[in-house]
Amino acid sequence: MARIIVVTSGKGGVGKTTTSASFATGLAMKGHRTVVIDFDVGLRNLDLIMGCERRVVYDLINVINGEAALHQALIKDKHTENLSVLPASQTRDKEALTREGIQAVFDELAKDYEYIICDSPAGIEHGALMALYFADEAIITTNPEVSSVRDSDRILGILQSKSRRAEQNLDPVKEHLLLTRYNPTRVEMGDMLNVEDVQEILAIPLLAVVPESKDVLKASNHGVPVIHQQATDAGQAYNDMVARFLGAELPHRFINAPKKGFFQKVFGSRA
Amino acid sequence: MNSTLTSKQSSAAFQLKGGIYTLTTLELHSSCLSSLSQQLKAMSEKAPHFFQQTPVVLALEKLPAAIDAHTLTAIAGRLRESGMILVAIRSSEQYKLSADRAGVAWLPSQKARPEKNVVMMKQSEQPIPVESHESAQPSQKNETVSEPMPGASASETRIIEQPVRSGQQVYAPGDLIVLSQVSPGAELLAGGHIHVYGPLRGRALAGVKGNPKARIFCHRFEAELISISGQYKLTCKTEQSSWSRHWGKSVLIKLAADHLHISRL
Ligand SMILES: Nc1ncnc2c1ncn2[C@@H]1O[C@H](COP(=O)(O)OP(=O)(O)O)[C@@H](O)[C@H]1O
Ligand SMILES: [Mg+2]
Repeated sequence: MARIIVVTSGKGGVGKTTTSASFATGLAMKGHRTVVIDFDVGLRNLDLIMGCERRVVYDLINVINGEAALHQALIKDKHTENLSVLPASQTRDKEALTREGIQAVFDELAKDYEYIICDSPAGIEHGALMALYFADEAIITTNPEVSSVRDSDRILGILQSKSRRAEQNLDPVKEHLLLTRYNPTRVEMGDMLNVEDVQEILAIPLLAVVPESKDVLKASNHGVPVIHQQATDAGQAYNDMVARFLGAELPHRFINAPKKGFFQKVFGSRA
Repeated sequence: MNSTLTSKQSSAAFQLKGGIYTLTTLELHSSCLSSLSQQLKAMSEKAPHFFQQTPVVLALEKLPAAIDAHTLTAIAGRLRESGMILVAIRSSEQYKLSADRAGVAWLPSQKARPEKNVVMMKQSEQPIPVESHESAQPSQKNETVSEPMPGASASETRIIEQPVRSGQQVYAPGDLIVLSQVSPGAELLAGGHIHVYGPLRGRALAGVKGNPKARIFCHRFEAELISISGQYKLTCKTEQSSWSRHWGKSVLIKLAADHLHISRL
């Protein structure tokens, strides 16, 4: 049985697409057959971050509407084996996303893939509800700020009440907290919530903390998910995320501000 | 034409659903517009956002004398200015037409209801008695965790094991027991007592059908609003009152002599 995992948040710009790209890539790198689907109909940027925008011919909506076969719309990733991307349409109306249509696409994908990753649009409207409806697990992507935490809480409520699992009284959607764009220096200054604050409010298990990092934007601009760059903090954080998701027990990293540098250690701080 | 239109038809444009809502009732005691305005102003200074987009039922039974349509329009205008949205007029039949003209629903007077069932919702020093009652309405309710079970007895206790999240509302006809946390923006409603064995960060309204003996118990008091039998209090950490001392603590809240009292458990 394929696992359907939604990457969601309520709030926009928190790092859902960045996370979907690296998480899906990471699962595939570990040998799991994975497909990542862009549900952000109208915006379409997963393909940019995955670096396959030039190869988009058909999209999710074409498949749902029967205008293209699934295999025509799926794009095989160039860098990673076992990985495919199902892009969103930039032009069409979100209402074209129907439960029946998505169900049919998922049923077909489930024959070939172990993990189906759904990159949700922001908000709690139709597109976001469709992206989470079939989920078995949810990556609650949250930034360390009050508004993002509040929106994540709201999404958790919706997962509990409006997902297929909730409606059919099945085991609840398994929830994971991904705290991203975490800036320990700003957290220590009190500008942002810390890990404990966020966990206290959301009360779901922490999967990983991804630090705020310039490498993320650089990687996106090159169309390479940041998990490919194992020299970077963000790349390592996503690597840890994937490993923990697959059952490894690793200590959390990137939570504390960088220690004093070499010169400060040798000569002492003169501040 | 031999096609029949049933709600089962897959192309149905809508579906009617029942839902239970807590509505604020503004019970008018005087038709004096200036004193109404004054009181509304005083209230919104205390709690600036409390009435933003709040649906309100205007009750006219307690008015000493009948009012004309013109005055009624003026009253509705003042309510709107303070952020409330008039959804219905509750009165004797004489105002039925006015309600229709104002484009709001008309509800029959509830004079016959025994006093015990009437929930007075008023802030301790506030002279406007605002009443809260539930009414069934044919529309869709959002993200409700548990709706009253059909045929459930009025004293039924509900136990909720998962967190109650922002945007969710839980109602129990009898006591409501929540074993987890209640997030900011979540709402608990109970005919009887409310017990929360985690942090209570949202709203808790006990005794909503008019039970002044109902109490609220919580493991960690960080609520946004507390109400018992319609008496309510907006609460926050920085509030200048004896209540802020109990912030984050295990407390019991009860109603005595029309006032809400908080004490440590
Ligand atoms: N860990 C991070 N550090 C720095 N910038 C980030 C990080 N994660 C995401 N971003 C940036 O935040 C913006 C929004 O990210 P995106 O993944 O598109 O969010 P969403 O899909 O939730 O709208 C992008 O410009 C992205 O480069
Ligand atoms: Mg996105």
